[in-house]
Amino acid sequence: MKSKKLISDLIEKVKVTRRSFIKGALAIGATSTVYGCSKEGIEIIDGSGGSVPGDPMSPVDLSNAQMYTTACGHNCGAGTRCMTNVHVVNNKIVRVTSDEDERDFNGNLRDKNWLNDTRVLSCAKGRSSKFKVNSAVRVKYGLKQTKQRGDVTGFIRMDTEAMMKEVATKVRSVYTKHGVGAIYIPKASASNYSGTFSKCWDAAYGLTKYVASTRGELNDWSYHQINFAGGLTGYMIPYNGSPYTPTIGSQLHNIAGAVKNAVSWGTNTLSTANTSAWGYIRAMEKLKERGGKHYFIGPEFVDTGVTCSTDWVQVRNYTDTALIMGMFHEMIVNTFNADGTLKPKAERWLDVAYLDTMVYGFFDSPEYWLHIGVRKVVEGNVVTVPEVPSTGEIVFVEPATKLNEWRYINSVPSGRSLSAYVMGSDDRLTKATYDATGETATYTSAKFVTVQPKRNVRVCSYTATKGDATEYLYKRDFLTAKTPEWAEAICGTPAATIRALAKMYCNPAQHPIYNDWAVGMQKQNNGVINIIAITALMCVTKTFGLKGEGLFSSWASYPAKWGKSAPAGSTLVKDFLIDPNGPASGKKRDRSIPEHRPSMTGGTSNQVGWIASLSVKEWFNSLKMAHFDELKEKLGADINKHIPEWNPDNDRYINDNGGAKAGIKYLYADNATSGKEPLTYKDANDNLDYYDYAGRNGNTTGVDSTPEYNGIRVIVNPGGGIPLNQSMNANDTALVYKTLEVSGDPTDPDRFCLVTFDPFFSPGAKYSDYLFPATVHLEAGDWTSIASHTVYRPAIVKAPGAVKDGWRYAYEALKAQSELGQFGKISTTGNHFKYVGTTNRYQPAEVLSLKLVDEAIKGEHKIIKFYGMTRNEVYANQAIARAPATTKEHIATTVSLVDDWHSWAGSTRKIIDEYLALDHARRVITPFVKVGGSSAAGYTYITSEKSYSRDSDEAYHVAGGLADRPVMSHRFSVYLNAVVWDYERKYSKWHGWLPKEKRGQTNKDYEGDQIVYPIPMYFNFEDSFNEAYGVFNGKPENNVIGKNLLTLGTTHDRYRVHSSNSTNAFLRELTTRTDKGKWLSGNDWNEYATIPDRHPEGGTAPISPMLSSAVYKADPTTASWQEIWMNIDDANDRTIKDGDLVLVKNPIGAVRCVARTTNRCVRGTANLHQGAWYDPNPIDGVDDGACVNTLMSYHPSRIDQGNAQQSAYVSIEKTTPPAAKQ
Amino acid sequence: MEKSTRVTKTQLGFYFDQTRCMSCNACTVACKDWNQLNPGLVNWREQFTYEGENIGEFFPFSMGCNHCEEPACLTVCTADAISKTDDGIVTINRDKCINLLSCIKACPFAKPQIADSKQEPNTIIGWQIEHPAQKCTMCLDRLDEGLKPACVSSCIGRALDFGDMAVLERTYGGANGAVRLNSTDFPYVYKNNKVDTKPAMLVKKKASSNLTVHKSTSYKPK
Repeated sequence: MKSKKLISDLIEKVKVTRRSFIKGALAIGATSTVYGCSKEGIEIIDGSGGSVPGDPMSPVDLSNAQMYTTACGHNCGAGTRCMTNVHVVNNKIVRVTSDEDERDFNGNLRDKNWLNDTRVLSCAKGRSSKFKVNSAVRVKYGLKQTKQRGDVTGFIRMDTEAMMKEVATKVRSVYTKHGVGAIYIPKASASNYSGTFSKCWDAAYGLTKYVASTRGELNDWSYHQINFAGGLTGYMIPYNGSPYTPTIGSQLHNIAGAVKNAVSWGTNTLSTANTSAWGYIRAMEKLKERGGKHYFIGPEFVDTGVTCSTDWVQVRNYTDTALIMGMFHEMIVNTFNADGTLKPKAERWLDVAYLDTMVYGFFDSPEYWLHIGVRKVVEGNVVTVPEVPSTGEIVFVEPATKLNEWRYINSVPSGRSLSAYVMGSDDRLTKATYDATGETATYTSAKFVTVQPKRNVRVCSYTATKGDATEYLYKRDFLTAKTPEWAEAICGTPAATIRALAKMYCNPAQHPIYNDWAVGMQKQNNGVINIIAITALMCVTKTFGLKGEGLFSSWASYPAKWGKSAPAGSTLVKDFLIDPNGPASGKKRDRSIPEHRPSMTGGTSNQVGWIASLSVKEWFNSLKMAHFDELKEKLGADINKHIPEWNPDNDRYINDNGGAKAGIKYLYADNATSGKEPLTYKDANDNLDYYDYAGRNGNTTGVDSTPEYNGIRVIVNPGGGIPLNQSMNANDTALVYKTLEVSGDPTDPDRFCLVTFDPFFSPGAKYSDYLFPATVHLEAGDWTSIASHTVYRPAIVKAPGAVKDGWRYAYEALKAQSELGQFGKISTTGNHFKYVGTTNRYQPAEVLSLKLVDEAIKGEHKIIKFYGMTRNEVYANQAIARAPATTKEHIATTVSLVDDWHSWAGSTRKIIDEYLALDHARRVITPFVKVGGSSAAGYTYITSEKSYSRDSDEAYHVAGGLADRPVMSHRFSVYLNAVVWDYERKYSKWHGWLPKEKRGQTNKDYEGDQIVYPIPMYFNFEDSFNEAYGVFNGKPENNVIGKNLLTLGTTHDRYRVHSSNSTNAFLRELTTRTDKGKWLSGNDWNEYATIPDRHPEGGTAPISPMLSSAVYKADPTTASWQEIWMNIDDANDRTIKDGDLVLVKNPIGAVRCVARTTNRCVRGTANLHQGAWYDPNPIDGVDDGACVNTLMSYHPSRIDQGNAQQSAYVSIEKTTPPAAKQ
Repeated sequence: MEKSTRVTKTQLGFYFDQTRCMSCNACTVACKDWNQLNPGLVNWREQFTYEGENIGEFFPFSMGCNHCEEPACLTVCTADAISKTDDGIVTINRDKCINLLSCIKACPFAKPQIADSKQEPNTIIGWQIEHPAQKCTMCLDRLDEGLKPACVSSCIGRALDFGDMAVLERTYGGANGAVRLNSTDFPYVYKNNKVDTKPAMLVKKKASSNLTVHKSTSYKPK
């Protein structure tokens, strides 16, 4: 022992030095000499073994560790990361630490009781990088499949440049025959966030999009529903009006300083967004110190609830909307008496004058025209369109002149408003009238009285075509009053709690209320509806525009990210390399990359505008469409084995929405400007232009048309588990991959081809035709922005085998395409591919990294802090300069972010409050169009109409175009007729090959009733599962009702993010157990994955057909299973004990896992966390990896056609491990 | 050698705030990573969330060795492998361990542990047995360099602290609510016995009343 005095100093003064990381860090366990080489002879997998370079299990001398500062490789916070210090000895990562400085970058002391310690510390994921880099499942060489997809014995080792040429050839072959729509890049955030040089996104683009383009995606894979639902009601957050702005971090001061109550709708911020975790904890502590409450409303009491919540409101999965409808009912009956009269003002919960003025669709209302004026347009200094101020006037007859100054507002038809649905057959609102002169009279209500006095003209008028004979539960409830008791029977939440929540939301004294909602909650069959319902709740209860109020997803904000930030005044980044993501927004992308890649001109991203995007779910249906004949021939009746919803005898697609039926071969011509342009023809039905398609042969009606399908022929997957593990119905996906012939001859344009870049031998990698071994981010040089300071580093460790970084692969992709020659007509404006360079000026990432470091050492680029240092000194001194220490806690309640009068929402709130406090009889101008401004700022629109469409206007192809689309109300909207209009017309311009009545998306269910309604309505989850499991489509045996099943949640596991860490040794032992319930799981980490380069010479050793050879060998001492969480009472009912191996199944698939019995799951629910690797046991086909998507149907989520990966209804029973293998 | 506990000049210990732990396991991974422990059974520090009998009783806990003032492990080890530093840190000299296992049974918290060959494939010169007992050292090497233990430095929720127990008592004890680890308030961490070894650990206890559960009342499977 030494330095005892230093310990005392540490205690008293918390004085910490940084130099210690570099010098003298010596592990206790490594003080003695190692003898023997114990790793020799230890079986790693299937008989292979031996010492592995960088083997993390072997002790090393840590005294000369080199430390590199960088950012975490995980994207838990929308591109933000934790500062990470990686310690390396002899090309081996030995330790990972985080920010241990006394001060944060702003000088805030590391004081646990202060709010303003903004330092984010690496979590278990970041700290386990050693076992990510040195993973047993690393792919080290290029592999090409020669037998059958999924058969690891069919992989042959291949040089990646040679593979790249084959893939480039394949892409061209497919493009030439089938067109751009047959090429697809799935979203793969694991690549996109894995580092500047490491990510393989540009390699995928180099193969495809830069040259021949691809089919686009309609939505973001991860949280697509936000794009649809976030802005629909027009709800505004305090800052910039965008309801889906992912910036919870910016709200932490608000919560700490102003918010009175917080409601988390199932959000697990502490786990999902580590970069916000500490701020969230501290902010909620401050809230509670002021007497506020933190409500967690959800079926699984996640870690955020355990740490932060004062109240756990138990609710079953998928039923949040029912809970909210119960709250609305309580609000209404506490506002209106049974005879329709208003309760006394002091007793009234809802602000009726506000609702009449500000919320469209809560009550029935007539059609009318609203004078909104004209927005001024200024070009340069010239006013080209003068402003016409709004008068706010309402008229009920279409104005004869100056129609452009008026906005037509659709009626909310009789009995179809939100309140009519909520009240069911309760007729009190049909007796209630708009107020013309009374206490709640407003200009709007007074006008309505003149044409439609009743608030609701009739009771709920939604009906089922089959009446009482309907098989849908939700339709039987149209006339049911949605009382708290009704809601309780559905969601389990006590009626008294529902009433209390309703009261809180209606009580201004309980405002502001911070609402945090989970992205995962949306990924349910009716996930979009939940978001509409939540935002409707806040619109109706006037929970907006105050300091600190907001609605946010669980994202983060600070501080580290892959860098573009250069020191002030420096041109360093610009000079360093041409940003592979292109220049700053607003400028045209520069794909030439003149310094370091073969010269190119163009890129063809703008070609995709006329190709229908596919929803994040429908890409797989498009793949089936392309290869339908082959699949049907080989699979016969099994073609829909895992897809109960599909009836292949009637249709060539499972579900005809989401862009899938636009997957036929469209015709185009070369165009000098855009590269390619679509051909169109006029349809005889409506005389509109439709996209021309192969196989039309003069047909202009779509009747008896026989188009050629292209569907998807090539998938270039730049990383992540999307093409298998992270898509719904893993069994079916794997079956399709296995059934289709391997790609083979690259000049064959018809065979399917799956190309994957992946560091790991993941399920998607296993089923690939071409597998490119990719770097982990620490194996490529990079630069990082930490607290706005740029940090440079080389590759921290050398990549194993033939592994290459994404920068190199991008070069090889472009080189391969270049060598194949010009493709297509050269554009005069450079909008598509042309190889013009002859000099290979490519430089590896490592060279570029070191060049940058050396320039910094010379003091170039206005950087002085590294002047005169050696490279190693630069790396050792990357720690960011800290500001002088501050001395007091600071809660920023006065900055613009939280100043209600300066924010968009705040100004609107102020306007409406002032209006309601004064003369209601005057016209309502200000809430909608702020008068008096001199520029665009003079107008404050409620933005709901802007937020819905993510596809081009071409998606809505009807006579009159978008002009016929119902406009949003210019108020908060809880009746969304535009949503229905959009849904029914989407993609229609691609649907000329179909009879007129089948164009667009089909808004009819199996009974002929609507799928999409204009109001947030509770759709019983049993209905959704009966649709998904084929019950309404000829498989009544799958009926879920009365079978005592459990609803399944699939929340993100803190230790995986998605699936990239499923086999990480440090993390795996936190998520899996043996079948006896013991925590032995760390033992199987190096018995995972059969990788061809580990095959013994001669290939004589048995090769596991499973990724987990420990499970395959049925070795109870090592094999471990994923956990499933289930309620203790539910477990007892099934004689299941904690630690029992259980079989979880439904009509889609089955998995084996270990039960964790807990009170943290609501009765009737279970939770299987995302990200375990799909690993079917060859004995019985049960997925022993327990990938949750094995249990997910292809049934898309309502409205947005997104993935519904949080939706399954399952049985759980005890089981035994699969039989031992011989 | 006298086996009674001797009085040290100072007694270093840990502080744990049960209301802030978010069960992230950064501390346990940081511990293994810093101390070069491989994946496997032995975890010098463990994190778990104990569930009481009543719904809503969820108690996160993170605990390594408590470096007791009267360590039972030290008392029972007849191989003289366990000692206490002047700072009160209880250490195991693995060279002296002869697999008596008495320390493992005596420690109320079962903190001394034995690895298996998968976790500890390398045998070190000087060891008398294949897998000597091991446990938390309070990161002695880090303390020597003026750093806090890895678990404390890694704690994202700022739930962990360490230092002289007298200082910790002044900072967190008394009116501030933290109490010494004891079997009455925290029976679920006492795995082997409830002998009062005077653990050098202060805990800010999370009360059951911190959480109101609005329990699902109407589960009616359709």
